[in-house]
Amino acid sequence: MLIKTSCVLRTISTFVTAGLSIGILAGCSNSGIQERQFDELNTEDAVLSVYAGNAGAEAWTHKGYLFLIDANGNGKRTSLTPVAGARLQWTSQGLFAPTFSHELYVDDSAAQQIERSVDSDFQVNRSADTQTSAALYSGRESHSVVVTNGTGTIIGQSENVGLFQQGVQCGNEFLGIANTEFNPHLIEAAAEQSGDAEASGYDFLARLHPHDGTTPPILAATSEDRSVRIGPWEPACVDRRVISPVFKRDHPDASRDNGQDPNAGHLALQTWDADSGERQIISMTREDGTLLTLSPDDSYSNASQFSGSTYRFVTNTGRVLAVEVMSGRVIQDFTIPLETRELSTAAFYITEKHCYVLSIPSDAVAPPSLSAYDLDTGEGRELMTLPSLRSHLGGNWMTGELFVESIAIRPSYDQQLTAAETPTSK
Amino acid sequence: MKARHLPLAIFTLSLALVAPSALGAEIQNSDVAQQIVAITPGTNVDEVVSAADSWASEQQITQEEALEEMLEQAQLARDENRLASASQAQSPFRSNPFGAKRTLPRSSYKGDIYITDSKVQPFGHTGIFGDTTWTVEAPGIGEVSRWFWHYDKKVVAGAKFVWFKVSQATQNAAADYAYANLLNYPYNTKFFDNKQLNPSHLNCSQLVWLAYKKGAGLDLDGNGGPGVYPRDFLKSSLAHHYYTVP
Repeated sequence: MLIKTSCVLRTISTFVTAGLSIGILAGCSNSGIQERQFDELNTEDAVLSVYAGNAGAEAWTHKGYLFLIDANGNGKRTSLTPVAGARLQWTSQGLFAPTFSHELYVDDSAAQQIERSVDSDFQVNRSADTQTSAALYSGRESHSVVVTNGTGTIIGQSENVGLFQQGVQCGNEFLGIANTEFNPHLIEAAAEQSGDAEASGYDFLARLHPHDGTTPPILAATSEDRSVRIGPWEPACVDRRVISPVFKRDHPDASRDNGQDPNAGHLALQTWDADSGERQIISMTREDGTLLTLSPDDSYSNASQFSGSTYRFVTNTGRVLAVEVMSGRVIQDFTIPLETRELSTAAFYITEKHCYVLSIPSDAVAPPSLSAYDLDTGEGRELMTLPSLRSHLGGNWMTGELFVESIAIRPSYDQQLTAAETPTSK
Repeated sequence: MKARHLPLAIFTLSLALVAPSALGAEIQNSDVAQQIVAITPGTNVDEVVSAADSWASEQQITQEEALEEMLEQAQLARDENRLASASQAQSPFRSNPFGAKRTLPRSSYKGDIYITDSKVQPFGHTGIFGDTTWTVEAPGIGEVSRWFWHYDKKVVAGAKFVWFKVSQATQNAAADYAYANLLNYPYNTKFFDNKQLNPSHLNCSQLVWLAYKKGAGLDLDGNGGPGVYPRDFLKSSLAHHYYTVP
């Protein structure tokens, strides 16, 4: 009898433990954000989208979510296999997002997922125009450009063997900035395009899509400028002119041997004209003509916007800069107050009028919040708190915590905010 | 005894005379191999024994000695990772026992490496900087080797940045070799036997080791043996640990 009781207790204990484990694995339920199958999603009530995951961790632990959140901070989430560097893009047509194997498209009425021919857990870049969204992925054999249109259909894909770290959609093309240091197999093509066969290396602009085969055609090339370093910045394209921040090093030959600092330098704009082939490096300067230096902590930006003749971007530390493209003059420079990044995360999204920031405080009980900063005045205001988002980012014992890869704002919500801020004339 | 039973009797007798010592050694070796498998997820006893045979043949030692050396290396690597990861900062997420994560900082120079502790990966993790803002690395089981922007990588507090006391040109050569030749390899779970010069699979420390070995002619495995683990680079006489992620 005793043995039987013991067995029963052990069985109950096993079930309780298993139940608890499943509960922990599944994550805590949260009334503010409901789990949905992907095909049940639409963006009808959503104003904010959040992409979170742990794609930098081991593949077998991968976990990710796409959140669609309404103006009250509540909403839906769907599970997905996450992509590192995933960028959301929300155009007037709908929301574009990646998973390991699919392109996702959600609009006000439905959601579609379209399988790519190439799997990837690393998205290098994404850019969109009014009709299409083009993404650059680092895949097993090459860097792939995948173009999706406003009905959620993949309309083009090109493969590019080599190392391509910056790209942008220019009309029907997707152009990439690279150099032969990291793509030595393209040195002959670059030399021919530049008309200078003597250079030891070349910087070049290539068409990553569309093209046949796996070698991208080089549209323009020039002898390498070793002071210029392509970094993790978002390029823009205007009239087939590609514009992107670069880090211009004071000491291109810096090494421990000579004691020079490789991270000393300033920010500049690199522009490539795809038609004329001209490349310009325009240093960013302040009002007083001094060069714009940034700390190593300001080393990247994944949110930018081009409007008129002004390129705007926000660094990972919340520094918002607006640069006049022709002159390189910095016409706006303010910093969004953030907690130290050591234990907090922040994600940014820039529109023509605002810089949005989703802040995840390091304090375990403090709710994440969404704020909007006026790009002209630097004034900010909190739009919503998202207490229900917090627990979803904690992950579980297997996944570890999840990180916000990117956010996107519904375009009409941004327009409403702008309209509400505009003083009405009497 | 009938004549037809004679072969069976001889066989049984020979087993009785010969088997105890050979069988005993085999069981013992199998036990050691099992221990290595238990420390090294994604591997099996056959792979361990095969690797031990190769190492034994190369070093002119017995299979038993090879297995003991492999076990010793794996245990040391695991214990060093456990010890280091036990002191990690607490995560702000209560449900998460893995410790707080930090964004991987930039490196000072091209060719530097980083080494981070991990509660998921039994031996920790490492990668080489292709430039100061991006790395080349083998992320883990189920993934191929690839490049990452530094900010897409998360490390734990205590992650170490290391450079090697060689010329910058040598470090550059190793980094160049990594991104030009070591991308897109499937993951190799066999840390205990990861120093082949022409591998079909790569793990994290194998990639860094191979970048310096084939790109710059340097063997940076600080404690030798058949396997190179992330912290073995710290034991190299050329290693200089210059920064710890707070």
